[in-house]
Amino acid sequence: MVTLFFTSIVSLLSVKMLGLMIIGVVVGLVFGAIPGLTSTMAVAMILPVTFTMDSVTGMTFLMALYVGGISGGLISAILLKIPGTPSSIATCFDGHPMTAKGLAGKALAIGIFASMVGGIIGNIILVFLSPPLAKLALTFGPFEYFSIGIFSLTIIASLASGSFSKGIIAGLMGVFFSTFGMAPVDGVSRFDFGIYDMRNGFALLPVLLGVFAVTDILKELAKAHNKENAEKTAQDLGGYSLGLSFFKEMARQPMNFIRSSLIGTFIGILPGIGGSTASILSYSEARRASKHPEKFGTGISDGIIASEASNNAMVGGALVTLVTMGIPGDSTTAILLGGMMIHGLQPGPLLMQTNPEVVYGIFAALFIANILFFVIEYSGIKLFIKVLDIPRHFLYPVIFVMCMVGSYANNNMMFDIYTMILFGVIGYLLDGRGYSMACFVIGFILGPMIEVNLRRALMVSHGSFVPFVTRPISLIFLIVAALSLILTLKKEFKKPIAK
Amino acid sequence: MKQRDMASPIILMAFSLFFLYQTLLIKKVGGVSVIGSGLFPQILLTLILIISAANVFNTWRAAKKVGQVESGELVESVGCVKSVKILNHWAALSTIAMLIITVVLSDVIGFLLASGLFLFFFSLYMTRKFDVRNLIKLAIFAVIVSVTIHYAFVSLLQLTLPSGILF
Repeated sequence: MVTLFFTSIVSLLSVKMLGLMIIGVVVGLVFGAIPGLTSTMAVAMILPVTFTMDSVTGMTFLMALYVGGISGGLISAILLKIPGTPSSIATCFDGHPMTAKGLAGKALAIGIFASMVGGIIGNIILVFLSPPLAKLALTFGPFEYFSIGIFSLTIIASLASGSFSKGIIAGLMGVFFSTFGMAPVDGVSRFDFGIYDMRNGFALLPVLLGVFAVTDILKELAKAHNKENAEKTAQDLGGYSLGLSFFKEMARQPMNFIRSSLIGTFIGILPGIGGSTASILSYSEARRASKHPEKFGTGISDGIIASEASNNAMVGGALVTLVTMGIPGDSTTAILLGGMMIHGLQPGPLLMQTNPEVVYGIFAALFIANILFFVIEYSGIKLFIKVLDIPRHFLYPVIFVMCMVGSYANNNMMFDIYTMILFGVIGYLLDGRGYSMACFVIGFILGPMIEVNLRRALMVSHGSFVPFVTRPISLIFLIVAALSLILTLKKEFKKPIAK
Repeated sequence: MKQRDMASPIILMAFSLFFLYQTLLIKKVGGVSVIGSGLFPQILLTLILIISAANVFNTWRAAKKVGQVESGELVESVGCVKSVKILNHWAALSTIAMLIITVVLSDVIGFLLASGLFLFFFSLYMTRKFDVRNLIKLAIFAVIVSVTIHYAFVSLLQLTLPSGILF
């Protein structure tokens, strides 16, 4: 196993393969960094190019694209508070506050480093634990998925500690807005008000762009007449060098790296959950485990590490079920599955025996792509930070136009641009009264997963809620969720009344 | 909490009541599912209603004690950090209006022209300098950016952008 892995790495170290991977990583980074363009889109668009290549070369190129696409999202999340990909959502929470403090370079360096570490840990798990992990994941049913959703939702309670009730309302509002459109299971249309496009509900990407990009710019414009707000924050360009102090800071939180990478890998293995949940769950767990949870959201490295390590580790996890079971863990791996089939490969338990050179070629490509993106993205930090030097009267209109393009490109629907504007307004109104938009987005992302699995589970159990507490894994997640909620409530009521 | 804070929970209560009524209009399909499609939103809306009502009560009680009204504030929350800033809502409203006009125009004159006009007028709105030099600078900026975006997405990436009668 190990020999095959290292042999595959050596075979990929040719000029042609490395050149191809560099192109893949760069294209992926561009897709990841631009809101509206995703790694899924990059892989889908480049897939036909690989048809003329042999299977190992083609899959290597696609792996580089996939890793680049996932890793690029942190650039816009940190610099502009716009998650380039949904899986970078939690990177905004601490990444952008660091930029506001003039530490954009450091935030980017931490994010890039954490992404690489997470990616490599996910890769190691992929190589060594693929078959048993995939088998465990296959035992999960709707009861377990529902409980994981509820458990992930409890982050709202901890994120909302500034204004507890408002945070909870924001989270519930997020879940509620996710119920618009066709209902899961029976396909009944809800709250469409006779508008045809509303039957599909609100797509995630326009909502994210609205709530983060549009809301933020509206807020900035609304307070722009304050002189101090019009001034730009000077960025500390020395803060990102990979010196001893940087590694010392990173070495202080080995558990954060390991925990977040494990969460990311495991969420990746579970089909259909996705990187955004991995990022949110890891952020939540890092906050829960931290000695200084109150500092989360103010611009600390812990939050960026948690989010970025997990979303890159998710790639390894998503490939576990793809390679060993032929089950795609997310939309990108679904396209990769198609790509593998076109290349004459049949993902599943037999693939490791029939085509070990391809399987280990994929594992090795993932490993090299993680190192390549680190080198490329790190070298570009100074260039990325230049974005912040662009005058606001040029930057804001360009962001708006890019957001419109991104929203439209999602489904080729004008409705999605209106959705972006609508959620920008909702975000502006709610955020202005102290309702946390982070809680809103978390609710919106987790809502569909909770509802669909609740309904599926109740169908399986013929309306009985008992299996939620009799199935051990489901019970564990529910107990941890309840404990977390009780602890947060206890902390909340212990707080002295400020006014 | 201040009296002004009562507005948002009251609006949210009205919002919840309106949509709770809407959930009653959701079609019920028998046989397939154990719970109807309306139940999940009903649970969410009821929770929003209860928590908002509790917020109204708490605000009313606090306001009665303090008897103080302040206005024109933004409570900006990032995690648990809060700061208060004076707001100019007109700037936000004008921006939203410009965005909506751009989207509507995209359907008529195409995204290339509509985005160019948006880039020009929005940057002009932000700079508020009406001298010829600035106008030329912003016009060049609008043309270069809109054409580049159009070329990159439509020609290079083969994506579709809203097209109107002209483009």
